[in-house]
Amino acid sequence: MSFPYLIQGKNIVVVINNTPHTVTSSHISYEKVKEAIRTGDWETVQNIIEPKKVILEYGAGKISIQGDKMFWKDTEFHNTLSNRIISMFQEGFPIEPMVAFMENLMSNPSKRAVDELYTFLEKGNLPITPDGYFLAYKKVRKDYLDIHSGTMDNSVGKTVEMERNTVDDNANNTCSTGLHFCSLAYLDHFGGSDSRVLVLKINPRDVVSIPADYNATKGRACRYEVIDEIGGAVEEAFVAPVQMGQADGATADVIRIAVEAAVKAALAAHAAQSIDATE
Amino acid sequence: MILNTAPQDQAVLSNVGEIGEFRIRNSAKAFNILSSGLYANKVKAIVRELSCNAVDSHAAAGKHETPFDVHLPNQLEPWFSIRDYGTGLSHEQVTQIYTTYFESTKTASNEFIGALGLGSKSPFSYTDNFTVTAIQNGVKGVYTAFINDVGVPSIAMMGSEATTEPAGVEVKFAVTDRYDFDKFRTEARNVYRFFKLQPVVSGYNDFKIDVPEYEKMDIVPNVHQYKSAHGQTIAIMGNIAYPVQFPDSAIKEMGPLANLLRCGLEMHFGIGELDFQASREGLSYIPQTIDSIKAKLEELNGALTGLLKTEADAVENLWERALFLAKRKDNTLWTAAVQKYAVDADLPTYDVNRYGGTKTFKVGIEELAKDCNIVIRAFHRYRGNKSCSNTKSSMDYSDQKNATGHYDTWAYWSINVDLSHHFVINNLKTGAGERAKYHYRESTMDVSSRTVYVLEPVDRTKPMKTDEFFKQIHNPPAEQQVQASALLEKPRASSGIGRNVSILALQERNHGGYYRAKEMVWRDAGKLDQFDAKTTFFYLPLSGFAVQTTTGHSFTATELNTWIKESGVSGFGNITIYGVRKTDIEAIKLQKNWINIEEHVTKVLSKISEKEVMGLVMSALDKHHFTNYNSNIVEQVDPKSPFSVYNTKFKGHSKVRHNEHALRMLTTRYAKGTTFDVNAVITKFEAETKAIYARYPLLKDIYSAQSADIAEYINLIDAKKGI
Repeated sequence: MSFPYLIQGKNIVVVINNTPHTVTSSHISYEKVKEAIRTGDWETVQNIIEPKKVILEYGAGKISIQGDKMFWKDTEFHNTLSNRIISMFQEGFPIEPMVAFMENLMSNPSKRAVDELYTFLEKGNLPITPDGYFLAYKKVRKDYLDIHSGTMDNSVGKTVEMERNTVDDNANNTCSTGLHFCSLAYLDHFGGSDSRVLVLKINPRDVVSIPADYNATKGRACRYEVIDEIGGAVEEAFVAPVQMGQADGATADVIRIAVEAAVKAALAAHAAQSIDATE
Repeated sequence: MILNTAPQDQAVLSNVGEIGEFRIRNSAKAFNILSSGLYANKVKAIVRELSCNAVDSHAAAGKHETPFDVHLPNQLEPWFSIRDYGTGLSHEQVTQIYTTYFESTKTASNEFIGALGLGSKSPFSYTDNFTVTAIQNGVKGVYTAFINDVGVPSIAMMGSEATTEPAGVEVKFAVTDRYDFDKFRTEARNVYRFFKLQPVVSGYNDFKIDVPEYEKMDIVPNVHQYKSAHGQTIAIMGNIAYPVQFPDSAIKEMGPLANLLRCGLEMHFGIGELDFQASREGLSYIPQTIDSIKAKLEELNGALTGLLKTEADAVENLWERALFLAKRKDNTLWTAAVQKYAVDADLPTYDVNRYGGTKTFKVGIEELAKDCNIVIRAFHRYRGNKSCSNTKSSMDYSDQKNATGHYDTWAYWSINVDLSHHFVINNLKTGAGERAKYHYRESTMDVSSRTVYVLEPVDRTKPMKTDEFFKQIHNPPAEQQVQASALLEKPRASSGIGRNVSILALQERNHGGYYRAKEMVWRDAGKLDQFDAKTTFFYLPLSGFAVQTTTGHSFTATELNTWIKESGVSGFGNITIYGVRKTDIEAIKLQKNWINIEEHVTKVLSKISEKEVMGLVMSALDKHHFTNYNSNIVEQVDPKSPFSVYNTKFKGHSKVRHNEHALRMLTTRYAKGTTFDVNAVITKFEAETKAIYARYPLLKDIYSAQSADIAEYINLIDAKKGI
């Protein structure tokens, strides 16, 4: 099996079943199509050439598409999550973390908190975890006590929580009661140079509000788990849309290893298919 | 669309050498210019050109009512495609016609928008490759058009097979840049806005075409005016909108008709009526284009003039008609029509050369007097200003000196056609000027300014020929002609007395918000006849501002006012002093309710009661502590004791708050010859008080002691000194 194709610059034209498909770098399967054509994996080409079909398949029945919009059950996906799903697909992650994340998110009792969280995730570009949580940063004192009051222990491994209804849910009260977390951009605004930067694992269900100041880069929750402390460059802590491993102090490496493993598995699968095809 | 490309005249050559034709080199540069360089707005060009091809193809297939399909690029499906259901293309058509620049099947008919054979290549202005899927007669061919290694457009067949899909063509290409997704949406909106039949748009859920709002549709067939009735006029030909931007020279030639181009018109033309730029981004202003548009504008203007004529002719009065036109002229759409109507109708009250539009008549003063027995006086008043100022007539001077070495002059009234003017015709036996001014001063202004022309007879024994005058200025409407007898009459005062008596009032000067001693000043209080005839007023005769007193003393009105206010005498009440000038004194004396303040003060002081005097005395002696009757002390001492006698005199009296100096000033001036001399009483009591303190030397030191102790001290002294 092979299909007529043309590759020119970033554009690929493949004709499958006498129907032309135009693929370019903005196409969600661009890299994969290019690679599959290079390796002659025509079945993969056929499977991944139609983005809608790909996403529907990837979404395993949880995601639907109407026109140019993606839906989670009946709720339209916020842009930031559509992008997240696409990049998860592109980087070879399974859909399950997103499914778990959506289920957690949808169990958040506050619609406003959910809407604000979209903005936070979009601005912060923070990873989600396989069990549907997201990761965020927090700065603490040298002794792991919180900077503001110095009373809460945020040692790695601790779960910190307070009653949800005691957390200020008004985004316009910019500095108020609650367990605070932030994205990278906020870190410089708070705490001294001798403070520690921690990685928090937060259930989207537990987010109460994202204060309106600092361009939606900090948030208040009623519960989080401290899973790691960042030793090196903070910017390099998170590199993938889904954080596979945790709490071993070498987060970036874990991701890299996980991605490499996924790619290897994909290549192996392609190789097997090629053999099938030749047979 | 049929193109007219042949020269108007054939070249006739004779005795020439070798003739060579120009050629176009089949090069990358040429292709690039034709497919990319042509378009300023490339995305719009692609949407427009491919859509027009789709429309043409539907037209060729007779499917005028079938919409074509458009797919706009989005994140999930980043491609643009247009699929029509027209005639489709055969393999030969794709490889021969479709790919040949300037090859077009549509130049034989004006049923088609296309003609140049360039539009189908427009995707090359955005991308290096696009696919063409052509379905015709049950065969589906898939082609990829691309720019080859040397920059020359090429086409590759990617497949062909039998199909049951409906005939037609799909052109499709990938959109690499996400930021361009929005451009495609925007341009699709701009382009499809003018399509008679909207395509079926997919790929963007919220795609909506802005439907233009019209002020007036089909002013003449196929000419509409947008709601925002100013701005660009556009010409629409074959679903495509072209801005109408005439070259300056053409605008000049058109005269007032050019105004219509600024009225936000939408003009529809049949295919072939206008010539356009190869890019279709604008019109090509060859004579044919200009003539077509001009013809349409003339048709429009003719229709507008017709409408205007019906409306204007219905306005009978020529002044009113001129003003109707002047007003209508302000709307750019009607400017040319108004001009045309005024010229055609030769309207005497309208001046096409004047910016304001209405005519100004010049009426010679001498001629008016001679021919009509009329002399005009004029004044004007502005809203918000009560005064009426005289308006002057104008004067023209001759260019040349006359025989006597002087310049001839000609005096005239310049009367402009204006609905705010009024003409007052004096039908009274007296002059009407003052009455007219009074009338217009007193009446409310419904216009921002008004000029009033008062027509009076030069020779009062003869009638004015007003009809003749009004005929000269083409008859201002009847409501602008006013008989002097109908004007408000200036009321005459009931009697001469008091009419011109000016009254001043002594009032506090404003102290401007910060502390300052309150000064009294004379202010104009109006005329005597404005004062109520039943209320009593008090006046002080003045000479200049100096008080004219009968007392022989010299003092100011302010001083007198202070004395009256502070004297503590209750009979004065709250008095305002009015000043009356020497010349008006006789008039004021005749008014029963006007009382000279000096007489009033004298009268009040003469009637002062004993009780009031004692109160004043007590107050005057206030520094002594035993002017209040103290029964506790009196009861404990001998009734014949000098203290007891003294103190008992004050029994039943209480102090009156007053300024002793003020009282003294008044009494010395006005209490002479009265029955009760307050000053004498005060002096007497002062002496008595002194005597008491002399007899009881410690009394002033023990005033705060118990009554019994004081009584004991008095008794001791009385016992020692004897009573």
